[in-house]
Amino acid sequence: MTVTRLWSRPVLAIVAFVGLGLPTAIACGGGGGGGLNAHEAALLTDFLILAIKPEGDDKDYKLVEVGNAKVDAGLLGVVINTLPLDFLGLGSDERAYDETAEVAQCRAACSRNSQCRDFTYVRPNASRPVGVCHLRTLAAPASFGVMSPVGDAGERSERPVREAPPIATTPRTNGDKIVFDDGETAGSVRYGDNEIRTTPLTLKFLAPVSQVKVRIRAGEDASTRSWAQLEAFDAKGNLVERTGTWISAGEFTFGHGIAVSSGGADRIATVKLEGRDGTVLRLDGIEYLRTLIAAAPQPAPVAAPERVPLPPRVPAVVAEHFPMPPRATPTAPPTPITLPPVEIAAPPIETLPVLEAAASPLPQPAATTPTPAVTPPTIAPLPRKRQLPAWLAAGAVLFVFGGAGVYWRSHRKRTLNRLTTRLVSNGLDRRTVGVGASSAPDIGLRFVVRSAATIGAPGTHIEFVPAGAYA
Amino acid sequence: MIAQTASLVQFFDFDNAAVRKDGLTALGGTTAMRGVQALLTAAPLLLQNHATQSATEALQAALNVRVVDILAAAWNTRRELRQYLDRSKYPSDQIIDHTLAKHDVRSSHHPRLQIMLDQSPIGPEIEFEVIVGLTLESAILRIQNARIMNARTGRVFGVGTIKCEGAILFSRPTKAVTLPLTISFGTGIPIGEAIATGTPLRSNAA
Repeated sequence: MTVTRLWSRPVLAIVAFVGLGLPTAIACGGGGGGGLNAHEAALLTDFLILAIKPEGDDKDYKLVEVGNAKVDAGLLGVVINTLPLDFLGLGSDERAYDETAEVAQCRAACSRNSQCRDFTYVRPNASRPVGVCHLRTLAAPASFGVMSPVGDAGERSERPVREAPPIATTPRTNGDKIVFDDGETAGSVRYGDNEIRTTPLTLKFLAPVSQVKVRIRAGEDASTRSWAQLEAFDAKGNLVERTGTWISAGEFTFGHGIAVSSGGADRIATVKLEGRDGTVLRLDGIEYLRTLIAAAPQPAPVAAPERVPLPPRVPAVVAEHFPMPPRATPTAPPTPITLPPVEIAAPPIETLPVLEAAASPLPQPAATTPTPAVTPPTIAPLPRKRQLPAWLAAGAVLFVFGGAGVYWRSHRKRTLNRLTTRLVSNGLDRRTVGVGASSAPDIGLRFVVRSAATIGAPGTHIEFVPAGAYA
Repeated sequence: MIAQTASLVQFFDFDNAAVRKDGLTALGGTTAMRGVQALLTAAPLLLQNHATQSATEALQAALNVRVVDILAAAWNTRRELRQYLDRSKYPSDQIIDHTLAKHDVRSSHHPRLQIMLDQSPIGPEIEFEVIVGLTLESAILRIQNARIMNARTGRVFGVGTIKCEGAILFSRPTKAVTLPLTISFGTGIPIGEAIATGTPLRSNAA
């Protein structure tokens, strides 16, 4: 063993104790190492050994839990790459790349970070030889760093598990359909390179579940980001929830989770996963949960049922003598307020249910005589909202236009009054008037009125005197 | 309109909008009106368009001259009527019907207008020339006490023009003039005195 070449036996014993005891404590602890199984716990031990500063190494690298401080992933990656693995006897060629172990490390780091809600593991590539674990909060990635170990027992603080430990299941696959026939409270399945599952996919749960989470990533041939849509249906084919997210292409992101939930009861029977516009997405894993609460019968239409307001609470005695009219639904025709009188007959005493004294503060009815009929009072309809009379509106319009017309006319008149024309002279003072010669000489006919002529007057005498003649 | 009170407005058919519109157009082309329009460029457009119409309306006032007054004034210039001024030969109790054969009457006067803006004159005075020609087939003037008391006329034909700066604004073709059978002059027109103004008339009678 290469370890014995460099470590003395006491040191080796201490390291072995820490390496064996720590994962055991993690596996058995109540906080759980983020739900790690025994295999993953063993892998943690292996990584922990690699992270310990070997004796004689002048380089000092600090183990920092991801999420508490910013970590320069590139620098830390370089540091880790300079670990004397050969010196530790764990050469890079002896230690094969184990994605499962690194995913476990990432999950453990997320579980120990109180702000972490989800994580994404980025595989190493030619430009970055180490894997990168992205811890994400609700809004944005909480931190960025290289895979970090769990940390020492004295420094680490136990944190509660935020999600139920999924149980690995083996669903039946049939083409693009995956069928889960178990009835466990939780389950999960993961797909690696040996079993590639691509969209479109249909997940069938013979026993409905309450929550389903799928982890997907972009296909290898994807060039741009893609929209992944996840739809959940109940046993009758009614849509329970629809959600989606953008999947970035160009990098192999693991564990990009999308979740749908039925809100408590186990209603999700079918889940459809597909990429928009036929984009191919790769499924990495499926997780589901059951609350074992039977779903209440749901109405047939997919649309949300109309909400009917609850009737007001009235005491039983009041409701018995003064029954309320039925409440109308928003789409139902209005129920007439005035109801015919309803005769209420009190049931015989022996048929009344036996009520406990603590639960029934109201006294039992002593008489068995039927109660008189109660006629609900009639309610007068609300007065109609007063509107502007048509004649008033027309009159207002005419008044406005008439006023405008009057103003325009007065304005025009005032403007025109500014311009006047004064008759300086009618020209009659210098008038030229004349009479031309007659075509014949004038004739003057002279006659004398001796007396005033009256009607019937016998003395009227008219003499005609030629011009120039003396009468 | 009573025939006796008919004036040159009716003579030139000045009440006709179409006739007046033609006259407005002709008046707008005169130099005087163009000068007034140039001075009104700063005024509202309403006033610019109303200047010519205002002048025409004022001209209508200048044409308020009765046709019978033109006849009386013309007859009063007739020399043959002056003999009736001799009271010894023609005492006041004698009435003479002086008959005139077919004759012509000519009248010409020059009214002047001034366009005012905000009580201030703008532009020069605009002078018009009103020419009226009447042709009477006959007329009988009743003279008493050296006054023309009334007149009776036969058919009358009239022609006339209104000019401004030599341009004819309004023109009346020769057509009959409606006059009453007897034109009364009230208390009589003194022979030899000017009508209305009191100044002697210049006579063009032969």
